[in-house]
Amino acid sequence: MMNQKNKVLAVALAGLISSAIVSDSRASIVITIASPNSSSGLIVKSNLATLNTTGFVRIGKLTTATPDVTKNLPTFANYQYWNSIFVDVNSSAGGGGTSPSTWNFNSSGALTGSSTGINASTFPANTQMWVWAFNFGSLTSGSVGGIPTFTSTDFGPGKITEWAIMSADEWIAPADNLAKSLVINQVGSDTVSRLIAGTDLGANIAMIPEPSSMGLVFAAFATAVFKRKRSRI
Amino acid sequence: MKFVFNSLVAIVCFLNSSFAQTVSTPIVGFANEQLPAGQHFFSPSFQKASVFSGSATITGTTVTGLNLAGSLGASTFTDRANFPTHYLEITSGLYAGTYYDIGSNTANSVTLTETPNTSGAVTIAIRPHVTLADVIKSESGIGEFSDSIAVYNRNGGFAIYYFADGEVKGDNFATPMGHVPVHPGKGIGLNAGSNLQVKTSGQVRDKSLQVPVYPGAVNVVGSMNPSSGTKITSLSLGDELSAFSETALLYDATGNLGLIAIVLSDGTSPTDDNFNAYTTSSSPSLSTKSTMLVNVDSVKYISLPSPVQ
Repeated sequence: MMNQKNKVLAVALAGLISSAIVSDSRASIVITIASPNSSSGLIVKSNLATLNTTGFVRIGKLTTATPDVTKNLPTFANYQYWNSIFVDVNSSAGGGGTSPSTWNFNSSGALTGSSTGINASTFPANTQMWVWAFNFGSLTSGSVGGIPTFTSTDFGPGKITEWAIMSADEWIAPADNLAKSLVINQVGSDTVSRLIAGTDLGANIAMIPEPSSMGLVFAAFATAVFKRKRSRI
Repeated sequence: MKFVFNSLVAIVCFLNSSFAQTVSTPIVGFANEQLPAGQHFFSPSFQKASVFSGSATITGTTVTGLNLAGSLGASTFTDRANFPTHYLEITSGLYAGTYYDIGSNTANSVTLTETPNTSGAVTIAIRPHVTLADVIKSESGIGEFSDSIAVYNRNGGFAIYYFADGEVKGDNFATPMGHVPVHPGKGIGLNAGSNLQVKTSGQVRDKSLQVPVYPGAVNVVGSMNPSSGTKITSLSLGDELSAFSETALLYDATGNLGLIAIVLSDGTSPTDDNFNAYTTSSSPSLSTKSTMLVNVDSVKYISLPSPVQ
């Protein structure tokens, strides 16, 4: 039996701990990416080819609600900008979640799998989630981290020449202890587009190339856009 | 470990000289779940005996043709929040296993708090809700004034309760709140500083249950099987979850909320998070103590099989 003094103390503490199990610092969430096939939507190269075991995705949030969308082309300067405002779910400085190997494009250009153990206090419910996809480099799978850091020499022919940056209305972090699956074909249907870098092909999203290549690929995807029927789940 | 006692009350058959008649009574059971200190989602496995079962007619939220005694409506406290005390379950047809809270009643009708998915002639059962007082007792070993109980509502909110002076209280440690219902198939959150023994008892379900899950809510769903695991392939997740997007997480009962499995759907079958369909042999299971948290974009009904069918 607790005496009155301790009861008062307990009441005072109640306000501090009443959110236990649903929002304390130990609570975690799971983020999954759903891009196993064309029906769920794929991220493809600007020439519409699949990303065959080249490239990977970063998933996280932005530290600003108003990112500079003019910095959307894949240059090193723009990389530094987006890198400075991007908080990864699977970095130790970010969400602290696991890094799945399946966030590297497979031989079919698909992306699947989950980061688990993401700190829910860093990614509270309703946080807008973003996907940043590269046509070069790879994520080193493991418990946390493994996200490559690029330098200016990583940009150019044979290396990073294309990327995509996107989000969707549906891509919001779940409540504590729940999971959210980010489906690629949900991108582009928003009232206000969150496709900052990329081309909406209907189900699929095409990366955009570095500035010198843009004219070369325009004809390819312009034709495709008109041929593809928008398909959403 | 759970114990299901069915030896005396499971099925009674008797004969007389002129005819044979089979009489069955519900299987009843008792469970004593050992939960290590830490965080848990817990779902009671038993239901209470029905106070009415039979035919009825549904018109909107009104159900008529009943023969009832006493109040089955929401509680009527004046000094604390009120909650439904009973629910109506559809027991036959396409919507068998769906259930709805009762707001009020007369001797021959009840008014539900929401419009059912079906109408017209149906068969029903009316049961009292399992409550927090039925689940959390002094003998549970729950820490007074410290260990918390979370109950999640359909709108995404939740309320926290504590155990104090021998009963479930509100977070002011004064208002008795043991009457808060734990809806069938749903679970609660427990944050315990030491090991718990959660003792529950009641009837084992003999029909499948359709558990509603809501968008934006923390939907804790248990198996309603008090004696053995339930494979997720026996649930309706493959059909109910929207392809690729809606999720269910299976958590263990270690106290650390260990993740057993991530479940999605390819539109037909439940899958892992690489969208490989689970088979009966590869399917993870809900144990008698584990639960799953379901995240959906629209209202869905997760079908839980009966343990005895």
